[in-house]
Amino acid sequence: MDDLREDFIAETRETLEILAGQLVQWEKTPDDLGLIDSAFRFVHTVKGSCGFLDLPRLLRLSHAAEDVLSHARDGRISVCPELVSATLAVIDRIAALTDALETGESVFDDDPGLIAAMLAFLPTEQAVEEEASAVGSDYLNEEVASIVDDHTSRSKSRTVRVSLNLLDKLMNGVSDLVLARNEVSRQLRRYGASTEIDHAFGRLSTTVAEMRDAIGMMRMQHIDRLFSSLPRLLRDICIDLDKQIELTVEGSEVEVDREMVEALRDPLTHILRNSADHGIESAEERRSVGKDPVGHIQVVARQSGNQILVEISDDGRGIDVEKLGQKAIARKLLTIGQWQKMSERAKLDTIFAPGLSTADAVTAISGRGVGMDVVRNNMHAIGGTIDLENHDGHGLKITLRLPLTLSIIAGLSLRAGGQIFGISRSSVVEIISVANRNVEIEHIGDMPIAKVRGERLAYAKLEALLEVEEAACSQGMARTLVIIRPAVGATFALDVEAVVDNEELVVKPGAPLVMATGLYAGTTLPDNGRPMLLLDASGLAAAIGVEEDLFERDTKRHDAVHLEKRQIDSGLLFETMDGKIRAIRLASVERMEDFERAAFHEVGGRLCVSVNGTLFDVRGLDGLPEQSHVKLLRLTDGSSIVFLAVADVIDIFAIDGEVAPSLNPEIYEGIVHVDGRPIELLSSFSFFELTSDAMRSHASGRPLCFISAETEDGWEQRVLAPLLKASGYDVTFDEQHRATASVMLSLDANADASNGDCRLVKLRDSLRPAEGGHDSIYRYDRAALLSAVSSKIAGGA
Amino acid sequence: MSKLFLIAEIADTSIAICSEVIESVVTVGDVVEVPRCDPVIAGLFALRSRVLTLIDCQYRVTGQRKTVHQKGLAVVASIGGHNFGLMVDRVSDVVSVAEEAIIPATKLDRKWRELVKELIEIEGKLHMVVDPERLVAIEARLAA
Repeated sequence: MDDLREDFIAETRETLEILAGQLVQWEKTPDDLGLIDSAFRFVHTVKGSCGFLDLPRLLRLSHAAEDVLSHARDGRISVCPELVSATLAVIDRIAALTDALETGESVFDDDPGLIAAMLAFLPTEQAVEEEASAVGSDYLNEEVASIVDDHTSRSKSRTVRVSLNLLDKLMNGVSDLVLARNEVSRQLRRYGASTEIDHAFGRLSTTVAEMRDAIGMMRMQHIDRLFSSLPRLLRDICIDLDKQIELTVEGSEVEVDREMVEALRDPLTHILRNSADHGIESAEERRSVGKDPVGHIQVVARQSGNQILVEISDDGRGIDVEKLGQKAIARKLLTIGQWQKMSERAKLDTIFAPGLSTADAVTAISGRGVGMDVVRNNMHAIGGTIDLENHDGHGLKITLRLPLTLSIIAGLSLRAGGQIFGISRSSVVEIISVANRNVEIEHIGDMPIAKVRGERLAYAKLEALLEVEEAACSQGMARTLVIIRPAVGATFALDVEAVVDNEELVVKPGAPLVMATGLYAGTTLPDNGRPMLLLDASGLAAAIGVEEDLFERDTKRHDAVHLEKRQIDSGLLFETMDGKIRAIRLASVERMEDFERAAFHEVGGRLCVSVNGTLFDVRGLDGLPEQSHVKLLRLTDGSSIVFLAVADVIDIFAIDGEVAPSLNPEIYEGIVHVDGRPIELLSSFSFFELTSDAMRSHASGRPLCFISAETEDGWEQRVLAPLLKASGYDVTFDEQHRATASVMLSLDANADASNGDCRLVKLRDSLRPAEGGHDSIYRYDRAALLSAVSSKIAGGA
Repeated sequence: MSKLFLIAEIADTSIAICSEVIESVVTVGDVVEVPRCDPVIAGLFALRSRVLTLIDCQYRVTGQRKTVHQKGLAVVASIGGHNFGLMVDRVSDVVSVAEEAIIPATKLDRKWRELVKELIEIEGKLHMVVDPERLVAIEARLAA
C-alpha cells in the first residue's frame, strides 16, 4: 500500500509539472479542446487512484473538477477565464494535498468552498447537476478509458522509476570502476603484458567509458522539467500585479544533471519574480515610453561546451544604477566616496549585496531585498556564476552559467613545490609563460602585481599561498602564470612551476579537516595513482586577499589591482639617496626598477639611464652612482617618463589630511603628515617641466613633417631631419605621406607643387630674404624654424 | 553480547578501537601532503581506487608529528562518509570483549580525555577505547 501511495505521489507530481504549462495556455485559449482534455485526464486519473487508495478529500476535489471539465469538453458549458481560475485552484489544492501526503502535514480544509466555486459553472440546479454528473461519469468512464489507453501506449516508452539514491550509488560505483580501471592499466604497464591482455584491456576500457557515459545520461534530465512550471508561475504573478507579460521559453530540450535542475529551481523562480515585479513596468508606463504594453520575458537555455547557460532577459526598465547607489549609501553599505570610485560593473554588482533592492514598495512578490544575494549564493553553491547585463530603461539580461555535472570536471594539473595540484578548467582564463614579453611582475612596496598586456592583476605564487618550499630543481626555470577567474572574487594571476596536464577528474569531497582550509575543492585520483588535491579558485582568491566582501573587494580591487584608481590620494614614502625621508604621490609612480651602474650615463650635463636603448632623465642623483645597483622609481605623467633615484621605498600611505604649503614650491608640493611626522611631498610637476619633448613617449602623436624637394647636397636629410626629430617630430620624405603630414618644409618653395598650401614652411639659403621672399625663414635660424613649425601645427590643429 | 576490538598502539600507548568502524588495516603507500592544513592531517594516500585522508593520531595525542614513512600502518575507517587512514605504530590483536567489560572512562590524562570515553578490560589490563570520530572531528580541533 505504501508503495502504491508513493507511486501515486510521484506520478501525480510529474503530471502536474507537465500540466502546469498547458493550463496557462488553456487560459489564453479557453476553448482548446486538447488542453481541456489534458486537464480532464489528469483529474480523472487522480480520481481513479485516490478512490483506490482511500483518500476522500482528493476524491471529492477531483470528482468535482472532473464533472465540470467533462461538461466543458462536451461543449455543454463554455469555458471562461473564471472557470479556468476555479479549476486551477482545485488543481493547486490537489498538488498541496499530494505534497502533504508525503510530508504528513495537514492542509487547511476549505475544499467545499473550492468545489462549490467549480460547480457554480454547471448549467442548472442541483438535481440536474447530479444527474448530469452521474450520466457524465458513466459515459466518460468508457470513453476516457480509451483516451487514457491511447495516451499510455503513445508516450510511455518503456520507463521505470528508480530512486535517486540508487542512481547515486550506481554513479559512485562507475566512478570507482573508472579508477579501478586506471589502477589495472598502471599495473599492466609496470609488469608488462602480452598483446592479448592489452587487447582485452582495451575492450574493458571502452566498455567502462561507455557505461560511465550512459550512467551520466541517466542522471540527465530535460531542463523542461524546470521550465514547464514557469508559465504557471508567471501567470499567477501577473494576476497579482495586474500586469500583462508574455513568456517565451527556449531550449527546453537542453539536458542537465538532475541535481542541477533542483538547484536551479529557486534562483530561477526568484529572478522571474523580480523581472515581472520590478523589471516590467505597468502597461500605462510602458505605453508612455513607447513600448509594447505587454511585457516580454524570455528564458533561454543552451549548452555551451561543458557549461549550461540559462539567460533570463526582460524588456522592462532595467536596473537604475544610481538609485541602487542611493539605497546602498542610505543603508550604510558603502560611502559616497566608495560609490563614486566604483566601476560601472561594480556598481551594478551591488545588487547582490545582502538587503538591497531598488523597489520602492515591498510587494508580496518581491522587493524585500532578500533576493539577489541568495540567488548568487545558490549559484555559487553549485559551482555556477551569475552575470548581469543592464540596459537602463530597456531591460535586463541575467545569465546563469552552470557546470554540466557536479562530479566529473575538466581539470588542469599544476605543479608547485614538487607537488601536483588540480584546478577546474572552467575557472582558468589563460595560461601564459612568465617569460612572455606581455607579462611583467611589478612590485609596489612589498606587494607583487602581475601586469599582463597592460592589465594589472593580483598575483601570488602558489608555493607562497600554500606555504610550501619551492622545488630546488626548478630554480631558474621559466614559470607559468595561470590567470584564474573564480566564481567569487576578482581575477588573479597564479604563478606556478608548470602546467602539467589536462584531464577529466572525478572529484570527491575532501575530509572536513581538509576542506576547512578553504583552499581546496576536493580530492581526486588521476591516472598516475597519486592522490591529487583540487584547488578552489575562490578560496585562493580569498587567500590572496582579492576577495573580502562585495564592497571591500571593489575598493580593494581599485586599490591594489587597478592601481590608477588608488593613486588619486595615496603617497609613497621613500628615502632619498642622501638619507632624507620624502614622499611622492603614488599616482605618478609607475613602478620601481633596479638598475646596474652601467646603465647610467652623463649626457649633455644630465644624468640619464638607458632602458632598451632609450635614454631617460634621472633625478635625485648628483652624479654617476657609486653603488653597483640603484633603485629607481619610474615616474610618468602619462606621456613622459623620468626616473627618481631612491635609497629605499618605505611605505604607502593615504594622503588624507591637509597638505600644508611648502616654502619651496618649485620642488615640494607641500607638507603632509605621515604617522604624525611632517614629510615633504615632492612636486611631481617639477620632474616633468624640465623634460624635453624628445623624452616624451614615442608611441604616437608625434606630428609628421614632410620635407619636399631635396637639394643636391642632401642638407634636408643630414641637417634638417635630425633637428626636427630631436625636437619631437616625425619626418618623412615620401610623397605618399604628403597628405597626412601636419607641416611641409621646402627649401625651394617657389618650385614646389604645394606652394600656397597653408601647411608649408618656406626655407631659404641666405641670411637675408630674397626679393618677395619675406615669408621664408633662413635655414639655420633654429629658433624661428622650430617656432614656425610649431605654430603651423598649432594652427592646423 | 560482545564487541570486537582492534588493539593497536598510538604514541607508545596500547589502545583499542571498536571494530565496527574499521574496514581493514593497510600499509600506507605514497603520501601526498596537504599544505596549509591542520597538522593532524598527515596527508592523502590512495588505496585501490579511493583517496584516503591519513590522520596522524600521534600528533592528535602528543602534539608531536609522527614521521610518515612508507610501509607505515594505517587503520582504514569510514567516518561520516569519508575514508580515513588512522596512523598507528603497530597492531597487535583483535579481541572480543563482553559488553559488561566496557566501562565509562574517568579521570584521564588531558591529552587522551577528548578522544576516549570508554575503557575495556582485557586479561586484567585496562585499555582506552579511542573513538575514531573524535580523532577526525573538526569541532574539537577548532576548540583546541
